[in-house]
Amino acid sequence: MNCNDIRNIINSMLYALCSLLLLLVAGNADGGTYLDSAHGDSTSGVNRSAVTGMPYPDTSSYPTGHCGHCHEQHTSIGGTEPSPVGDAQNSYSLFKENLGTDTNELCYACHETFSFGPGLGYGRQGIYQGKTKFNNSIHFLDSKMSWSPDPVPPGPPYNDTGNCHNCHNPHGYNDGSGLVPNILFARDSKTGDSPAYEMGCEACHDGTQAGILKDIKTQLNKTYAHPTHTYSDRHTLPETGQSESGSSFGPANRHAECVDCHNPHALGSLGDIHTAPGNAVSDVIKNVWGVEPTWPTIWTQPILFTVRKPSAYPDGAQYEYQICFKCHSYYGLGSVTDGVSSITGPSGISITDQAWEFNNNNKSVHPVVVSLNNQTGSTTPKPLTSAQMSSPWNSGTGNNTMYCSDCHGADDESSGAKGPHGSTRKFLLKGNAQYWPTKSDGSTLWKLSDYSIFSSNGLFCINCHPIYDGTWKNNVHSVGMGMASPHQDLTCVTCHVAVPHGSKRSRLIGYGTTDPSPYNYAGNSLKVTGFRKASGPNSYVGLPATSTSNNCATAGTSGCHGSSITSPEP
Amino acid sequence: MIDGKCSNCHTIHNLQDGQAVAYKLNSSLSDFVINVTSEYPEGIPNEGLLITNCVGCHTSTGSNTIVNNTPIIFSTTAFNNPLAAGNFSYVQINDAYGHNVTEITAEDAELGLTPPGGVAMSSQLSCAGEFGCHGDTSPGNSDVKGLKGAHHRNDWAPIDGNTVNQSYRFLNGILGKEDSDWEQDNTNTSHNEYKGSTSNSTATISYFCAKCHRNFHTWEGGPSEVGTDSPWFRHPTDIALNNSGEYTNYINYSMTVPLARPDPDNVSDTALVTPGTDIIMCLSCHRAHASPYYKMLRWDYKSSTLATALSGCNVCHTSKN
Repeated sequence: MNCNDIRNIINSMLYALCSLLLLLVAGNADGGTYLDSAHGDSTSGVNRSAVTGMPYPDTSSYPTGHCGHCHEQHTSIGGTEPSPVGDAQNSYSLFKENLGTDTNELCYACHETFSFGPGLGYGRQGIYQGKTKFNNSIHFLDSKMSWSPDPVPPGPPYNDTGNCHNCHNPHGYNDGSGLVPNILFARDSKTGDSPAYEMGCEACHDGTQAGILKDIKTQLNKTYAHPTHTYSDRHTLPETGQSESGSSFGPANRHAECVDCHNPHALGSLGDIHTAPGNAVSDVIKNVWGVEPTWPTIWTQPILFTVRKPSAYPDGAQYEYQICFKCHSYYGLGSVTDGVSSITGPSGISITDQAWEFNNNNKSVHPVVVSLNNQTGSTTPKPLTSAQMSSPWNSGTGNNTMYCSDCHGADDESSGAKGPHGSTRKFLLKGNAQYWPTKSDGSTLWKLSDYSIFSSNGLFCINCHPIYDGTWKNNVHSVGMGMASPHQDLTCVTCHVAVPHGSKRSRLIGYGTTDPSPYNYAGNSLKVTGFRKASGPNSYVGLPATSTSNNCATAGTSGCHGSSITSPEP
Repeated sequence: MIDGKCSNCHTIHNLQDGQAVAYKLNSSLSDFVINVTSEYPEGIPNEGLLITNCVGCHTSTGSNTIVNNTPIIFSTTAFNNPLAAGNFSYVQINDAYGHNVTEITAEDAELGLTPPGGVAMSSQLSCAGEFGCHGDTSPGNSDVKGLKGAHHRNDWAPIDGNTVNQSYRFLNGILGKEDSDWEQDNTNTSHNEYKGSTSNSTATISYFCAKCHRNFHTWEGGPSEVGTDSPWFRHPTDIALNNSGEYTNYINYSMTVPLARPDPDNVSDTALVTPGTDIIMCLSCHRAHASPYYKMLRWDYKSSTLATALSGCNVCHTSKN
């Protein structure tokens, strides 16, 4: 054997090894997971003979999961065209047509007929909720709802708007990491993926197929975002919360996959977010499950929840906050102290229990759950005046409700995708003004004396509350303006809680003596020690400091208002 | 080509030493009997002075499937190593297991005389002739007339389809390469090579099937019945195995799911498959005569074990296993 022989042998071995590797890669790419998929399961997979009410000849002897339950190779069984009798031969030899004017009719043949638990036509987890809802959703109706040109992941070899196959591979798909769950083409990002990528949804919602206004991928990659790209493999079904002895959203399992907030099968027909005011679920979050708290006493943690899932609640959440509370309440967080969890959010602040904050028995809240006139814990006057609100909130004051997403959303909603997916602004604050409680530098707290730059420099509150538009809207804010008076140099969070969802006291007032961070900004911003709501925005009394009739007490500071007032809110 | 003594097949007077010569299978198809009746005690003669018919020659009461170099298409008892087309004994178990050829079984109880995908015949299927598969199928031809002379002439290469004897397995006009042991050894290094074509050839084995099962064949059924490309309406035949995706994993020629070749006489390695070139045919899934499985399939499509039921499909559809 000479050198050439040895070289040839080595080359042959390398060629064989490369060929083997190529075969393995090809095998992965092509999957081979049908028998592991929901449809190919030999126990619970497809079985046409179990479809009631229609004659499907000669298929009862096919085992469950068999190709023949969907495909009849010659479109002829025993010489008979597959039912319905007289139907023509169908694409892919399917026993019912599934494309074009008959989009999804094959899928519906089973999925409208079977009951997987939550109700007739509902999928096992209640995420698929039947033909009627899907056919009324933007994911069925929109002409863009066909597979994008992206070759990866490989979609169906045809464009058929609204077809289930645009997202699902009925045979199951192996993406190289095993079977993609729920017979989808693609899964959420996996550990180690860079950049993280929700392939199933973002194949379209990346600024390509769905358009720039639905580019959710860009939003989720922003600094302050819901943890959709952050975690992998945490979204397992069925998801349950603390009130059910579950921990799907608990501290060790925090996540927010797309379907935690959206139901891709049952979006509304417009596929858009809401128009304020209101708080009923909007098109983009219709038919998502949520939780409704049972309200405990003021400023305590709601720990009892009604889980609004099919079949008891066929439409799931009724209001937007019920979806948010899945994660932002005891249901997801578990027990917390003083409303504050041990979890630090993307903005660097501890995540708080928002069901605690929006408790119907609290003295003051933003009207996310009920209108202010229906806020049980609030005292008269419950709402602010019309003059203290901007459009559209200045109409019907006291009777309006609002969405969490009225305040939280993208920094660029005027030109990009809407919704609280991600933002360049802390706390996902949105609107024309996007900074709270600090200015854009992230450290300088807003003061009343900044009134001339409230709008231009982006004080968040100004989006809805015209604090100063030539005149001050309450006599507390106006005190000492233009003079060497303490109020003009006071920061907003001297009196108001820094997390302005709700408060134990009226008008979102916080007490420095009792309230913890983050309500008490940096743990030391709040200076009020006693507060009593006045009869109107210009009826607040603070002097003389020795008067017990004052509305504010500020013991321990300069003593401006004295330390003792009559009947301060606890 | 048959060689040997004429009397191995023919009889001049259908009598020898006063005894009838012509034989046939008995009524239970379990053995051979002299073909006599009370009306014809001297025996019933056969066309062509033959001592029996097609089934009579190609039937065995033993276990071997090649007897005196005659391929056995019907075995009256347990047998080993069925040949490429299968064995008509299976159709006695179930009409759906094989072609219902007269002499062996009655017409199909479910299908009657209508072949799936085709139009009703006026008579039950026979081995050859007008209502058969082999030989000249011109109207009026009986089994014998359809095959007349074919057994006497050269039936080996070149198989050019110009005559019955130079057609693949006496299938008039069909091309292919005949395995010398009719695939009795069932090995992919030595097997029949079937003619396939993607361009309207009338010499393909699938075209031949389409003479009766018209709507199941790509160009015979046409766009309205089969389609012209994916998504197909019916499983296509006489199309090349796709050279992409899951199909590229079909590399080693499977005797369970064989493929046709565009040029069966010039296959460089019979043990290999070339996606993009080799061709899906009716016989990729079916046996020509009969199999032990539903619809003459080459594997147990109705097995209660799902993986077994799909084992044939998975040879090509490699991502569906």
